[in-house]
Amino acid sequence: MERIIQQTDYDALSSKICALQFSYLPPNKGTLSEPIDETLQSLYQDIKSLHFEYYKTLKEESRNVYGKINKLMRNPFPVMNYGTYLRTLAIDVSLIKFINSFPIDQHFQIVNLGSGSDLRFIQYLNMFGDRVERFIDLDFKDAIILKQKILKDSITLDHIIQSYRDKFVMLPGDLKNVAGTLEKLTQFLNPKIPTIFITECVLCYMTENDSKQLVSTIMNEFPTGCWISYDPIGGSDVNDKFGTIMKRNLMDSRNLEMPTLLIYNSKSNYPQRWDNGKSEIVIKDMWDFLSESISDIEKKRLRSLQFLDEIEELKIMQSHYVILNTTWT
Amino acid sequence: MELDKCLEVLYKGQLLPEVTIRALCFKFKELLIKESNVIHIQTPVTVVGDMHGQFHDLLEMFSIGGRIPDTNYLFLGDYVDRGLYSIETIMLLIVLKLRYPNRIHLLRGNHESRQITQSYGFYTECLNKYGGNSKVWTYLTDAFDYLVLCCIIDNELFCVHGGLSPNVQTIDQIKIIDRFREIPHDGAMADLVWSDPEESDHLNPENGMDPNNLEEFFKPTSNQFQVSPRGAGYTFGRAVVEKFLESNKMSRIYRAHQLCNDGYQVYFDGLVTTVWSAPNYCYRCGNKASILELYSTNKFYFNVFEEAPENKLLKENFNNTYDDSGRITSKVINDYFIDDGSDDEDESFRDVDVFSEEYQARSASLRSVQYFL
Repeated sequence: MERIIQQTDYDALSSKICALQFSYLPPNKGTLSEPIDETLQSLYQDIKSLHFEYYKTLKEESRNVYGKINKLMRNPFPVMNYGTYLRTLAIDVSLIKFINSFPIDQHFQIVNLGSGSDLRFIQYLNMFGDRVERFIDLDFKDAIILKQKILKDSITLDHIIQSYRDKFVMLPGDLKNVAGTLEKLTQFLNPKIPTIFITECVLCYMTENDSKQLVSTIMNEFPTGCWISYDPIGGSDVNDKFGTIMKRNLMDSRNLEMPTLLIYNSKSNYPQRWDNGKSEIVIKDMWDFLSESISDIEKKRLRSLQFLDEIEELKIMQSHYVILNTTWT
Repeated sequence: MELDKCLEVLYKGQLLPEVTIRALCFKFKELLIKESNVIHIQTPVTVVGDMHGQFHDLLEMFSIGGRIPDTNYLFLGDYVDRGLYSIETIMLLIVLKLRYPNRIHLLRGNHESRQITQSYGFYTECLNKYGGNSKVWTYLTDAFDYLVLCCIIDNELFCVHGGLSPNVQTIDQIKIIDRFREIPHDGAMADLVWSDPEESDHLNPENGMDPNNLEEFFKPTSNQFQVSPRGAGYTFGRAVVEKFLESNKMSRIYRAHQLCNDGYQVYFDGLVTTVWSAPNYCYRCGNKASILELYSTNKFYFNVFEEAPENKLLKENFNNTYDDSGRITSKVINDYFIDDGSDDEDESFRDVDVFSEEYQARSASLRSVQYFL
């Protein structure tokens, strides 16, 4: 089961490479309203070269994994590229906004739970340098080991890692084992400064109880924190079968379970796990995000990349993915 | 060429040899070249919307609506792309048309085009099932050029794939279009297959009507054509529809082109209706589908149905494919399913450009339903 969940990272990486290849990412200048737009532009400066370097090194490091990811690069349908673009942007916009909400000299920490092949640590350490006291990537042991190998094997990437070796930590762990996870995290984190936690398609693979426990334990342990969570929701409308079908498709095709897809199935109940009466919660679905946050000029650019012949499918898919931002003190 | 023999093969979901497809396309074009851009038929007839290569749902549809020639059918286009069985779908319909020319009529949809089928699956499906040297895609897209554009039922029901055009006020204007070509980017022919009725979502309680926003509630649709969010065609409001129907002495418009969660969608108090016939669109959307059974001009029934149970058994289906030298090879196509754990070491050793057509074609057979994971 662990391997099955772990391999969803291959889907994520292949989607990201596709979105980069087809130039959905990086977004153009003027995608968001100022001044966050400038920050975003700087953040994404080297995003393509970083990912392509990672992917190239991966090929040399593990033919098996590379083969699996290669297989996933099929029919890069526009809806998939749009979705990957939105997912990536939404999380980074959330991160930037949180960071901007701290006092200008405030140091902070970022923890990417279930990080997989994500390379945000490079972007954020490059961008916010001194202020980032710690950046932690946590994932299953095998995933961490592979990532470590790849980063070490690439001269470019290794050089970057070395320059941040006092800040960047890769931790093997199992999020189901909450106590164990917390024990590892607290070794490297300072509870006195704000910590931003990220779960990008992670909680959706956990059981209701496990995910509840993880969230509440972390919120208790870290008195000041933020959380960014991106997940699919099954849909709560009685006529909405998207979630049921998604569950079935994933189960039939790859034995992948989505235990809470139909439980935390709407924007109103998804935030329950973070609601302790004092936390500030903002939740949007990705269709909202596309409609409200992406400028018209950027929308026009996206349309020019591949011919998107209809909106309905895009809307259905994106309305079933949410981005949650929460802060607590 | 025994058409019945072809039908036997096709109803089983098997592929015909390329040389047969070539001959059938030739005959098909021969038949259609005599047709006007606007055909006239009579009820009873069953109207079918987009099928998008969902072959098992097409068979399901026939079992619900009745087989040809027992039932008359009018298909509104979009036979290919997105679903995994575009070839099986379009070939069955072509042979049925040749075998029972008065029992089935096929309109052209916006996906019956060279450009769009290169992005949405039909082209890669042809390469995959018939090999890199095959001309199947060319034969079929050439045949698409001959499909008629509209149909009028009982002299009063106007049927088209997309919708209306600012370049078309009368039926005669449609008749003089030169349709025997690739769908252009704009102009009357493009509009007919691309346009959409304007949404008045706020009048549909299922779409989250805001009871506090009465202004939105009473807002009428516009009097003019508006630019479409699709990037082709236009959107048109009630006033435009009323004018068109009045000028041409018709009472209603039936069209397809837009996904409907319930299988069909009524606009403007019934002046325009969308019929959508691909259930669980892209194997992901979970929508219902419908066919419109027209007994007479004013007696009709929307027969709503869901995904065929066979779709769940697809991984056990056998399909023939043709290798590059034209020989049939049988292979189990795990159409939905990634070969989890299979050793594709060969694949990973080769320095393949994953964005190349060859790669895409090879991968198409291993395609799975994609989500963000």
